[in-house]
Amino acid sequence: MQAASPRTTQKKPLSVRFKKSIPYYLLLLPGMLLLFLFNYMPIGGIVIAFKDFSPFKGIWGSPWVGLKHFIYFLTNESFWRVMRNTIIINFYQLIFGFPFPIFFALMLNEIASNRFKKAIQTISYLPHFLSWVVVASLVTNVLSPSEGIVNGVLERVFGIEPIYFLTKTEYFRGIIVVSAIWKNFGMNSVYYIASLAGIDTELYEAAAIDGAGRLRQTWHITLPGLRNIIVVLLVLQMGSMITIGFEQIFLLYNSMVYDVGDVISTYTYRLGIVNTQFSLTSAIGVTQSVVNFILVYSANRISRALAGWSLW
Amino acid sequence: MKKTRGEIVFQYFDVLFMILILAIILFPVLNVISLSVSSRDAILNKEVSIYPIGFNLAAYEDVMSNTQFKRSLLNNVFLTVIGTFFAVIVTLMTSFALTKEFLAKKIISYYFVITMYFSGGLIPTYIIVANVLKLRNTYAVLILPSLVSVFYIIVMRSQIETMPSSVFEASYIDGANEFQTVFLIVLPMIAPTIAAISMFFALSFWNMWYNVMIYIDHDKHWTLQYFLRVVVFEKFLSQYSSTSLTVEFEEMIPEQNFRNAAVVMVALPIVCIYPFVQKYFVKGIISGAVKG
Repeated sequence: MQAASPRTTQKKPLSVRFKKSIPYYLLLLPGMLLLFLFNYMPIGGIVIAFKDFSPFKGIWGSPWVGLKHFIYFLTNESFWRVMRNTIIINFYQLIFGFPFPIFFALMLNEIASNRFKKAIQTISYLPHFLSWVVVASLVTNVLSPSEGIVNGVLERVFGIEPIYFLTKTEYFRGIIVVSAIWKNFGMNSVYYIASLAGIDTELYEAAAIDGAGRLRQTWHITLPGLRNIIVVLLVLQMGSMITIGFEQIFLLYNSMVYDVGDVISTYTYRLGIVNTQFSLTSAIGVTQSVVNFILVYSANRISRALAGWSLW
Repeated sequence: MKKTRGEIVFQYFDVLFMILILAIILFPVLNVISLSVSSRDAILNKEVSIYPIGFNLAAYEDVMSNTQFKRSLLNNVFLTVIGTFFAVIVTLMTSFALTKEFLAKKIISYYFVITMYFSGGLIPTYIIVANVLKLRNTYAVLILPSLVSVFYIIVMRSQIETMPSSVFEASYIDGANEFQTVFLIVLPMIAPTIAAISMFFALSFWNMWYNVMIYIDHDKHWTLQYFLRVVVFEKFLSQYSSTSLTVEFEEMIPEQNFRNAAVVMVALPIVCIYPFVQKYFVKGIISGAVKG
């Protein structure tokens, strides 16, 4: 949001300007109040990361303990396990999840029939509209050892005993990455499809006259046309390397795959809400926010340098 | 333009690829529908894939007659309607005011934008909402925190900025105050944007479960998604961990058919509506990308 343009018109006395502003303040009041309650007060609540918070003493009554909680979790083996899982799963999503929507958009772009194109596009959006609860239900269905079709096929065709996929450490990250791709690739391809539509068709015609085949046209015209949006989305994704949405992991994981599947958000939830380690988990949250901010900020700088486009 | 042989082969390959994609998207969906209407024997024999075997609707009757399902459905409708209504009003009033000039506008703009980049995080938010505001086990905790979205305020504000200023002037000359201008003049003129933003809010209210999980203790306030989570996952989880079920649920540990019928019922309204609203989402995402 841009800031107000400087007032070049005549300056009236403050009281007059205030009086004229009142209707706007009233319009803004509900939104500001809600943000105060649910955003600014929690930001203030971060102080409990530096205290030994107890619900009975309240936020102000709890004693200060400085960096005790930060030192505790930074020297704790289990924190580094979830940190490692978070980064590894993000890394997989970057390698497999990021290119797929680009590939899909390019392939879709080459489909000749407009109606077929539209139909596929619409269906590809479907998973985006389903909640993670529904999608996770579909995943457990398909992979279920007693009723799932994957085990059905493995058993019938290959004679393999049912596999409890969701409890196997070797499959868990794969399941997370694949189901995230399944849910999101359609909507994520929207950016690329829009950019493809913006490429000047005359470029293709000129290239065709120069004797370039479709493949060369894709390489020399289409991909450079997508370069900016690819760079922007790539740096944005790298900016969230230590964040993984809570819902997907939480709904699919179980104690048997904590070693490979427990991430910062689920760890914070269990330790904080379930085990009421409020101060410790606030300290983890603060650290995560700071690292996130640094990552987004640097990603933004890189984006500006490479694509000439930045978030702010 | 004449097509080369390679291009024709590629066209066939491309169509095949797209059919494969369609199959991958639709398979789990058809699978859950088929499971929900198949006989128990066929399911246990792992025969059911994408068409029903031993068709019956018993599971749907069970779901529809389930008291908790009905209560959660009512909650969902209530939260979605009320939440979306107030969210759109707050978004409209805020974005309209931010297109105007007034005292301290710059500071107030920053007040809104900062929340896009900084948040208290899970636990401080929980402490404030639960311990300070004492909103546990209320409908308010499921509605109020989700009413303000600075992102949609920015989208709507840029829409209002495209309106000619003569519209506002005419409205003021006719003696309308700012509130009347927002709701009687601006609202009808940006109806498509209002519709689009309503859809975004409605979807997020309809799909809400996380806040139910952390702020709600009793089943009176459950949403459909949370109902589904308990029905589908508690049984699965309880096999491997010490997740304890409430006594009430222990007695009715649902069968596969029931669970799948519940999944279908919860997802059905969205599957039916989304083809008609997806263009708004696409527009919103693209304008969001352009605006940042």
